Amino acid sequence: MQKRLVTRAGFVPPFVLESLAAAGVDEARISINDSTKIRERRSERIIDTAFWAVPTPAPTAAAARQVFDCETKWQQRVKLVRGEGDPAHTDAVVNKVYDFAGVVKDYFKTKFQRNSIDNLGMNLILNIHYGVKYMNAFWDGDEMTFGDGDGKIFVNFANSLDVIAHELAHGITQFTCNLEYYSQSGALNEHFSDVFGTAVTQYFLGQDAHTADWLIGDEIMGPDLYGEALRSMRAPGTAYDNPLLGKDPQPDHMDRYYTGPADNQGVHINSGIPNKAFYLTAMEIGTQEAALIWYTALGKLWRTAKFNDAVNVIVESTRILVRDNKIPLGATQKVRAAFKAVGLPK
Amino acid sequence: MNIDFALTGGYASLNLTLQVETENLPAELAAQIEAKVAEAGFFELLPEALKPKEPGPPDVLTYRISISTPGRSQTVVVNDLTAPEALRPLLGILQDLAWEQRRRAR
Repeated sequence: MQKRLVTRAGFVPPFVLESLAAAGVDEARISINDSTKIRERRSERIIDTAFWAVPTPAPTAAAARQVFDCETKWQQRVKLVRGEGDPAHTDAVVNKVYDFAGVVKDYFKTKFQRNSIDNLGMNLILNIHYGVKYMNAFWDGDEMTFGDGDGKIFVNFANSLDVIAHELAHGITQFTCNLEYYSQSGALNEHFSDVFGTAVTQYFLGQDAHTADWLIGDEIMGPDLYGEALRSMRAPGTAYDNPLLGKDPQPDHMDRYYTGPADNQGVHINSGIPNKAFYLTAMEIGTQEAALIWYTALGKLWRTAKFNDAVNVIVESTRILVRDNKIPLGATQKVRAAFKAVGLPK
Repeated sequence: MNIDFALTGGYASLNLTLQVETENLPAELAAQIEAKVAEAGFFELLPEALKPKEPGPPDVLTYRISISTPGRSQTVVVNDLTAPEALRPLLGILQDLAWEQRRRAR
């Protein structure tokens, strides 16, 4: 008999919820994830922007793209410049981010039958030209924001399909298992965004695991960083080594796991370990097959999941997909071997 | 004026630092920085109100600025969502200086 679990009131201790989530009790996973709270916050935000006359999407809405030009201000949603179905704009960056957001949206719909970020047709809000020489892109819980870079170290972040898919995937993680952005759960959060950034890019370019470069961020390198990238899923730790950025600190094995405080205890650093495992899996069974496994696992994880938890859930997801003839027999063993190669589970 | 600045995080997982004594900078640059400190109302900012309360959201940049002059000092930690707009020009000039320092170190 399923017990009724009280969530945010704290009746059930968090460590009990985590054990139940690990055992596959969905109510426990959802309790940890606080997804209801997130949906409530998003509804309030939609009301705040009603002056743009964009109707609040119905549950089966078609995930309208809305591109806002921040006009180099440090504000989001300054000026709506292209809505869903609008003709091309004179600003090429507007069109690039609009087109690439469509590629990502269509990928998740085609491959995983997912209707936008929240699977309910959430609009895709894309802020471009944010700030002055802003060298970054981020997902803030409601929308994506992209800087222009400085033109020397980094070029426009909105021109990269990899970046757009990565940030949109943070939204998908938020509306599935909502991995806490700290330590191992945060590194998993970053890992899943790199996974889908890579999978979407390979799909769009017609590449497979053997023809892809497995680099993250190579498209935004400015002239000062020619030939470099930000991360390598194939060989974590080798993406860059130059006086401007320093040396790529990502480990490729649990023996070199980063334990320091920087970067929310290494969310962009230790993501290299599961990134390598995904690469090894993709080389054995194919990138899109691996992405299907990882997407399935994303829906079964929970907010405080750690690396070992992810391994267990990914392997279990593989078994289910093999059982259902979605991926070939033998995949389970290859996934285990990929994680073993990076020292997991530990 | 002694300034200790750090920018971390973001999509590119940046780790940019700067330590500078404005007395040791060219006069014009020092004046620009000190003007931006004043424009930001830096010493009147309330650090606890601006400090991010939890990790994330994903890929935002975090900025740590410590400034000390004879008689007063203050440390402020903000991220892209909590940084006041008036602080942005100071953040910008400190970032430019930090990158320039890295270039000269090559």
